[in-house]
Amino acid sequence: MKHQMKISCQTAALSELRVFLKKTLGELHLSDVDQLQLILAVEEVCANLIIHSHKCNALDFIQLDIKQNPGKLIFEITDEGKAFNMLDYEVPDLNKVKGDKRKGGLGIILVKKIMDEIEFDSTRGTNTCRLIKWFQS
Amino acid sequence: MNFFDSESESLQFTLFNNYQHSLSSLPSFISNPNEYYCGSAFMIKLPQIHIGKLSLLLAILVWLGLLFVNLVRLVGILNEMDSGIAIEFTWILQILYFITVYSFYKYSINKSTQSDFLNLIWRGASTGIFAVSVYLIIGFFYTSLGESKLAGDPFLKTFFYHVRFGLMTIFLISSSLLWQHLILYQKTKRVVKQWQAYEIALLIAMFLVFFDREAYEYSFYFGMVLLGILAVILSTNLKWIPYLTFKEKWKSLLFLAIIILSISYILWYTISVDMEYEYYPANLMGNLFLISLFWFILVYAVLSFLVTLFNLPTSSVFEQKLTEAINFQRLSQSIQPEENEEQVLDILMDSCMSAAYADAAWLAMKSDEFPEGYFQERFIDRKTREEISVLIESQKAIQDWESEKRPDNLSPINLRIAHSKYESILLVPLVINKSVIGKIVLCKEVRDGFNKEMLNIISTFGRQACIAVENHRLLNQAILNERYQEELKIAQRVQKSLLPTQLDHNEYFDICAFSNAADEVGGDYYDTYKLDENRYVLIIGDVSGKGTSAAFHMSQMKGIFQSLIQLNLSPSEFMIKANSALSKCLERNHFITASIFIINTAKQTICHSRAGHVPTLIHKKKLNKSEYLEIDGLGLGILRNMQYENHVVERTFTYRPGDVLVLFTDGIVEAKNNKSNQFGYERVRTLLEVYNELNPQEIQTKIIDSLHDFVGRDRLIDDDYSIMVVKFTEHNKAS
Amino acid sequence: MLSIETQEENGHTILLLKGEVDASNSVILDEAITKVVVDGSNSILVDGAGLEYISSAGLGVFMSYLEDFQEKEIDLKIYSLSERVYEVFKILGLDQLMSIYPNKKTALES
Repeated sequence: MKHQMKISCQTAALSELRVFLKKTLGELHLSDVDQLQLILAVEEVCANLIIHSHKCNALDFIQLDIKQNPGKLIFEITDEGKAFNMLDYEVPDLNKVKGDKRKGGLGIILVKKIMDEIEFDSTRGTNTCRLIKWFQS
Repeated sequence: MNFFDSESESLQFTLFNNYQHSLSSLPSFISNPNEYYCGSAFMIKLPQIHIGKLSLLLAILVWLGLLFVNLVRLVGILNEMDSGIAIEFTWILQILYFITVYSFYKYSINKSTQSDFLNLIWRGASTGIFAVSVYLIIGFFYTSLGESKLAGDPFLKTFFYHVRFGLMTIFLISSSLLWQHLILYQKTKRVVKQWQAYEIALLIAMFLVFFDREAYEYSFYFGMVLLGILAVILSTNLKWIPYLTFKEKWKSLLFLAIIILSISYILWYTISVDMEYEYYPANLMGNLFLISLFWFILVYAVLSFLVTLFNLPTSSVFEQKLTEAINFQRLSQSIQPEENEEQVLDILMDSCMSAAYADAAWLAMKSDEFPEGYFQERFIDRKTREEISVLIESQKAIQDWESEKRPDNLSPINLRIAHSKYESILLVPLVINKSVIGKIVLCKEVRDGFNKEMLNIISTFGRQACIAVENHRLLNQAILNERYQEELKIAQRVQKSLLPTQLDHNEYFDICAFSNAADEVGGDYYDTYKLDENRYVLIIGDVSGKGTSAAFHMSQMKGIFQSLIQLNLSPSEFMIKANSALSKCLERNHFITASIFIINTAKQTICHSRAGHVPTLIHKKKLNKSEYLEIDGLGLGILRNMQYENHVVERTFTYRPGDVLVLFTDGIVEAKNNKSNQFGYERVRTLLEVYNELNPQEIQTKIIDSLHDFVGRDRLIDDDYSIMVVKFTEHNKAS
Repeated sequence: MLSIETQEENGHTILLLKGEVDASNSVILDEAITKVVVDGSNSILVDGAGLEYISSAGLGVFMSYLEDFQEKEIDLKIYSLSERVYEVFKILGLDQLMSIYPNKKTALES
């Protein structure tokens, strides 16, 4: 299984992304909970890129590839430009986030908790964030 | 002259006083006996009795006693009355005098520690000169007295007669003892026996007077003939003469002439004056002992003189042989390591030239050390040398000679050339380690100037010198090898110190590493660096090639790593900067592969870049799977420009407690067994999947052990290999 | 798409969420809550029955008020979340930090 989607860098595109993900993941017969969490994780990464890397510039695109390998599901999110490595962000302490108006960091926690592996590759101006979910079979 | 020293020692050569000593000692004891008397009296008080001085004292006392006895007897004879002292008393004192003088000289000569033949002869000559001068002074004294009453005084005459007798005896005995030493040089048993017989015969001759009572009967003449023949036989032992140099021979001729003249004068004086004198109380000089000594000393002196004289022309030949022997010894002495071959070749040149009486020579080397050819010229200029070289090359015999397949068989070759100055040439090959390293060319102005003997000795010289040079080279090589070994050990130590002994880590991961070099030094490198409390850098690298050059590059890599990593670079930035730094210092066609990891224990992430290095193995505990981190990346130093940046990939990923990283170098996966199968990636991966529960040290041991089992316990892994194992610990604050 | 309906009921202000909350529209949720606070309500009930999806942006909005409400003694209660949305709250441990109830009744009784 291999799916690809190009996402314009605007927050409005996120719902479109969710529709695509829902449709794609629907083929896998996942539980409602798992499906929503995978969608959430991918959306979080994309939202991060759209807002922080591309400053919601609608002319920029990010690309999503979904691959299914034996025992694992891989979401590859590729963009060009300055690398935004979310793994470089310190995992915030929830009690501190409580009163923080920035609301940052929660997404990263979510992604880390949902996904089994996160890889971030950067080369030649191309950055790839790879989210991997394992399925014990 | 070292040669002589060792020789004389081996021959138990007795050493003598030098002549300066004898000159000063001889006159002093005669002209000033009191001084000796006092000295001796003092000596007697000492516990040990000085034999030399005692015999001297006795000799003087005996002489005085003889003088007194004879004066008393003279009074009796003049007054025609019996003095009451028998003639036997004179004889006994006379014999005693002989014996004491003999023992004094025997002792003083044996005691002497330093002498050579020339000194010995000079000692005899000086005694002769002294004796003769005393004779002459006495003669002048009488001449000055003229016809006065004193001139005819029998007492004074008797006194001087005794003085002459004393001196003559001293001269004869001392000279005969000197001759003894010359005769017994390089002695044989036969000569020693002859000498002993002669000594006994002389002793008997001393006492003959008691039997024939100065009658000069047949027994006297018989004894004289016998002693005369013995003296002649002994006088044929002249072995010392050849050892004199040309100059020494001239000197010895002079001294011998002095001795001959002295003895002749004394003999003449004794026969013509003393024998004619009628008033002497006893005939002291006419006894067989003294006559025999006269004969012996004269014969030996004359023979020595003649033999030395006739040896003069051949002395250069003998000297030549000696020089050759010495040269041979010098050549055969192995060269000391700090000396150089040129010194030996120098000696060889000198030796060859002197052995062949060559007029000119040169040395031509064509070894690796002298690709241009090394030339050393003696008494010849470059132009002449080149002229002759051309003439030599044109000869057919030389072409055959130079194309000789087995240089061991080469011997010096004799040539005739048509050159305006030099007409004969001798080529001496220098063969070291079965190859010709050069040649010596000897030139002579005369045609056919080299004879067979010269060829032989020069050939021997050449071989000996070559052996010395070869030994010297072998020794140097051995020393060099030892030095190399020593330096390799240092390199090994230095390199060991380049690998960290303490691997940086914190409580969130355990780490261990191991490196093995195929040679003394290797090209594998691993290191760690602590960026801060939570961030640690790991690097593993492999320099292309192995051995010393790889080790140098490895140390460069260490320097680059330790300096760049402090700039807080990301793995890809590090690789780009390391590439540009290494591009400037790495040899062409050399490169370094490396993998770098920045572990962040706070975020539980690993940031990794790979520069052509074998992929790192990671075990994911949650998945219970081991896999290789195969990201792209090009070895450092392959692309030496900005293009390199396009080939660097950096990957950040998360890890979980229990995950294991295994970093290694290609020496592990490429190690082959006897069937040429490689250990391979899959074996390492499977091992990690099986043993991931163990601690890093155990995992490492398992991998290395199975590697050795695979290759074969008795075989060596012929490449450098290194391994580093990192395991993230279970207790983590974020979990 | 997100729609928020505000109702007053026995001194409680009820926010009925319908649709999905993501980075593009979390600001609407933020504004709605701010308005309720400005209007003087001290008990806010959020009805999550119609909430199909919420991303970190939406969760962040709730988080940002937690401290403020504690000081001002304003109650914020969420109820009737679907299982899959509740799981998201749980991932972050918000179930411990916030007052989340299965339905309106339990929310009011507490």
